[in-house]
Amino acid sequence: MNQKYIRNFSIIAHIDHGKSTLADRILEMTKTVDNREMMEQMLDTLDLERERGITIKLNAVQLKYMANDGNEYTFHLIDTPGHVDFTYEVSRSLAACEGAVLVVDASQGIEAQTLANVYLALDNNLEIIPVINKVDLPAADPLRVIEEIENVIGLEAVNAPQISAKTGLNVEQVLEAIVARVPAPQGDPDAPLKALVFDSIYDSYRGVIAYVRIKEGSVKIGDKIRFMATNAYYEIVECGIRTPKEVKRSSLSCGEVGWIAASIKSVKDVHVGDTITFAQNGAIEPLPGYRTLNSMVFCGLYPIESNRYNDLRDALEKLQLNDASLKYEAETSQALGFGFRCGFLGLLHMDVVQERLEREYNLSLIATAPSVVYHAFMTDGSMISVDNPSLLPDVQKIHHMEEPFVKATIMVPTEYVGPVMELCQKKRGIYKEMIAVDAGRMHLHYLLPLGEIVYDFFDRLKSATRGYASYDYELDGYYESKLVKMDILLNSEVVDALSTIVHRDFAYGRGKAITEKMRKLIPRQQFEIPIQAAINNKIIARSDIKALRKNVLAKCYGGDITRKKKLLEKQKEGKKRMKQVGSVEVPQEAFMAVLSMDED
Amino acid sequence: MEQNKAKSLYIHIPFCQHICEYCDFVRVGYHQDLADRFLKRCEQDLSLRQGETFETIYIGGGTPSALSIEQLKTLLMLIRPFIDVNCEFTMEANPENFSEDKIKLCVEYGVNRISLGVQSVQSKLLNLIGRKHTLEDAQNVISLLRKWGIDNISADGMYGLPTQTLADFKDTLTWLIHQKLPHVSLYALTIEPNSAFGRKHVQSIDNSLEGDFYQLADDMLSDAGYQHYEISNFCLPGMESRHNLTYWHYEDFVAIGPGAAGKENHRRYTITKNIHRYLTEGIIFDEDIQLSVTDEMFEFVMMGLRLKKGIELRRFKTRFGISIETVFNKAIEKNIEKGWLIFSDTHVFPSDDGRLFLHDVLIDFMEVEPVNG
Repeated sequence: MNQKYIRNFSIIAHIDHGKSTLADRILEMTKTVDNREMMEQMLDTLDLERERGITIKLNAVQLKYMANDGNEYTFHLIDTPGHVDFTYEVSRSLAACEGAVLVVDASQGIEAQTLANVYLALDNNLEIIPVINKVDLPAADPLRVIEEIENVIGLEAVNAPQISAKTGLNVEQVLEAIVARVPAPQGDPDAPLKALVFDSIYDSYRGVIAYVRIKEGSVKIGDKIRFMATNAYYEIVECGIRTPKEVKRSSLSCGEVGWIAASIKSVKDVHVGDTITFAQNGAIEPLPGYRTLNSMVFCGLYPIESNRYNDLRDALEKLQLNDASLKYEAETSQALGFGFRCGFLGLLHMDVVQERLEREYNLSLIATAPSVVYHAFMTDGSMISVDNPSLLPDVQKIHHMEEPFVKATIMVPTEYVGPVMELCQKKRGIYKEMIAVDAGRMHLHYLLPLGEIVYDFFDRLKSATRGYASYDYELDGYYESKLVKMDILLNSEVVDALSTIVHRDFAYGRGKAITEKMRKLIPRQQFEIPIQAAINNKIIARSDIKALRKNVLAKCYGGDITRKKKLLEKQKEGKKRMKQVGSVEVPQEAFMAVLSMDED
Repeated sequence: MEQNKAKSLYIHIPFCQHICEYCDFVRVGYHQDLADRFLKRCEQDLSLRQGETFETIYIGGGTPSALSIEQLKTLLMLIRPFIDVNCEFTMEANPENFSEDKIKLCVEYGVNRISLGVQSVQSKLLNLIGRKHTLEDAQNVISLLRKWGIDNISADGMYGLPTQTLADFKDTLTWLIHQKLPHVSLYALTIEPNSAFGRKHVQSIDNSLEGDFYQLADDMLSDAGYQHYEISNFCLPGMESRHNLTYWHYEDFVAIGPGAAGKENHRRYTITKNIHRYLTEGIIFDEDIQLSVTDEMFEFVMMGLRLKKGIELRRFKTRFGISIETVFNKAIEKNIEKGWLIFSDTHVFPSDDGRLFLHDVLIDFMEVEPVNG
C-alpha cells in the first residue's frame, strides 16, 4: 500500500456534539457500511456505551474514499473515548493518527473536555481540522463559534466546514479537508517493526486482540514479536483491519491501522501505549509516550448474597480480560464479609464496571464509597498508602497525611462564576486563576483534592450552572492535608465499610449530613437504630431511625389474594437490595451516603 | 385432579351513590339502567351455576344497598336457589340508604348477616372521607336490623385517617363496643394511587401512630370480650365471619361481578374491572392463573397465618400430602427463633409480635423453594 494515500485521523468532540453521528455519515458516504447493515452509531459497540452515549472502548475502521483529485485514499478512522477517566487512552489513540477532526456544536461552542483533547492532539503534533456541526439548528451561531475556536485554541477556522452530520450537509468538505490537510504517515517501511498498541479486546477463542498502528516497518502472519514494555514474546497468528467488520489480511504495512492476534492469553501482556517489535533484530527504542496506568479511585465491591463471592471473582476476572485498567484484590470487611477492593481510572470507569457486573453477570452488589489513595506518613518515618479508609492506622502513629490534588480547568459562562467558586470552596478548592475567554465565558483554574471531586462534583457543577459549565482535570500531586478518619456506627457498632477520610475542619458538617442522609435511606426496622458519626471514638453527630411498629396490612382485600401477594413481592424485592450489617438491613444507596455534603 | 365444588359465593355490586375518598374498588355512580343491565348479567353468570348451593354467600361492593328496592328484590330472587340450608348469607350496606323496606326484603330472602359501613363516629372524619351517613343513621339501622331479626351484624371501622386522633378512634371503639355487635372489622387507611386520596397525594400516617391505633383496638376490644381472630377482624366467641374464613382457610370460592376475585379447582381469577366490558362481552378475566403446588402452598400459608389460630397442621398435610414443617423448614425455624412463630401440637400460629410483622414472616416463606409434595 502506498503510504501517500493513507490518512489516519480521529474525531474530537464533546459529548452530544455529534461525533458518532459524523462517524456514521462518513461510513455511509464512503460506502463502508451499506444502509441495510447500518446501525446508528456503528462505532460504539458495547450496549452500555450506546445507552449512555459515551464511548469507552476504542475502535478503528478502514475506509476507502475516492477524492476529487481522482485518487482513492485509505482512511483509518480511530475512535476515542470521550471521558476524563480515559485521558491516557485518548492520548494513545491520538498518537496513532496524523490528524484530528474537531467537531464543535454551532450553538454550544467549545467545552472544557474538548479543549483538553485538543491539547492532547496538539501535544501529538496532529493537524486539526475544525468543523462546525449542527448548523441546521435554529440556535446555531457558526460565526461566534468560529471566533471562539480562533480565540481559545488559536486555530484558523474561517474556512471550517459548516456541516450537519445528521443530514449529511457539507460532510464531503470534511472528507476533502482530510485528504488535503492531514499529512500522509511518515515512517520507514523497511525499518524494523514498530507498532503502537492503542487498544485491546479479549476474544474467548483467539485471546487478546491488539489494535495497532504500524509506525515503522511492517508485520505479517508468522512473525515472532515482542511487546517492549512487558517483554512478552508471541507469534502472529492472524492480522487484519476492520471495516468495521473484521477483515483478515496476510500483513499490515507501514502507516496502516489494524489488529493482530497472537494467541495471547493474558491482557496483562498487552498495555496500551506499548510498542510491538520483532523478537529478533527488533527496534532498539520503543515509541515515546508509554506509561503504566495507576488507579485513581478505589472502592470495595461485595455481593449482597455472600454465597456469590465466587461468582463475583469470576466476573471480575472476565472483565479484566477486556479491561486492563481494572484492578482488584480480595478483601474482607467485618460488616460486608468477603469482597474485593477494586481500583479504577475514575468514577465513570467505576460506574461502568459496576453496572456491567450487575447487568452482564446478574450480581447484586454493595459498593462502598469511592476513595482515593492517601499517603500516611508515620511517626517512625515510613509512609503507608491507604486506599481503604477503614485501614488507616491509629491516629497516634501518624505524623501527617497527604492527599492527591488535581489541577482542574472549569469553563463557565460569566454569570455562573459565583456559584462555581462557591462549589469549589466547599470542595476545599484552592483558587489559582481566572481567565476571560471572551465576553461571555471564563476559565477558572483550581487545585482540588481528588477525594472531593470523585463523587458528585460534576453533577453539582452542572446543577450550579444549569448545565453550562464543563470541566477537565489532571493529577497535580500530593499535598499535606489535615485529614481524619470518620467512622459511622449503626446501632452502636462501627461499620468498617462506612468509614471515610475527611478534612478535620469539615468533619462536623459532614458527620451531620451523613447521619441525617442515612436516617432517610435506611428503612425502619423492628428496633430503634442510632446512627452516629465518630472521630477517634468521639461521637460528633447522631440521628435515630425510629422503630417500625408493624409491617402487616390491615386492609380490606378479602379474597383478593393477588393484591396481597403483589405487595409481599414488592417488599421482598426491596429486601433483596439490602445487605444485613450486624442486626441492621442497609440498602445499597446508604453506602454512598457517606459522601454527602452538608446541604443535601 | 379432584373437582370439588366451591362452597362460597361472592357477588360484587359495583354501584355507589357516592364515591368515598379512599376507595379503589370497582365502583361507579349508581345509575338505574346500568344497574338493570348488571342484574341481567348476574342472571347469566348465576345460570351457569345451576344446581349448586353455597354454604356462605357474600354480597359486597360498591354499595349493595344502593340498589333500588325492586333491583334488590331481583338480585335476591336470583340468589335464592343457591342458598344452602345452613348458609351464612351476608350483605354489605351503608347506613344512609338501607331503609326499613330493604331490610325487610333482605330478611324475607334469607339474608342473615349484615356488614355495615360505620367507619367512624366523628362527623368531621366521615365528611373528610366522603361518607354520607351520620352516626344516627348507623344507630337506626342497627335497631331496625334487630327489630326484624338480624342480630348477626358486623360493623366496619377505619383508623389512620387524616387528622384522626387516638381519642377520636377511642370514641369510635367505645361506641362499637356499646352496640354489642357480634363482629367488628377494623381497617387501616391505605392510600391507594387509584383513589381520590391517592390522586390528591394524601400522605399515609406515621407507622408508629398506625401501630398505636392497632394496639388501642386490640386492647379495648379484647377487654370487651372480643377475640382478635384475624388481623383486621374481631368477634364475640363463635361469631367469626364464616365467609371470610373460607378465604383464610384457602378454600375455593366463586366470584361474580366486575373486579371480583375467585378461586376454583387450582385456578385463581379476577373478573375484568371494566364494567362496560363486563356488561357487553362474555366472561373476561383480568387475571386467570393456573396454580402450581408451590403457589398453593405459599398462598395457603399467606392466608392462614393471618388468623390468630394460625394453620392447622393436619389441614396442610391432608391438602398437600406433606407436612408444612418439611416444606417450609428454613422459614419456620428462622421465625421460631425470632419468636414470631409458635408451634402447638395441632397448629402453627404467629405470636403477637409475629402478627405485627407478618409481612416479614411471609417474605421468609416466599424465599423458600418448597419441596414438591
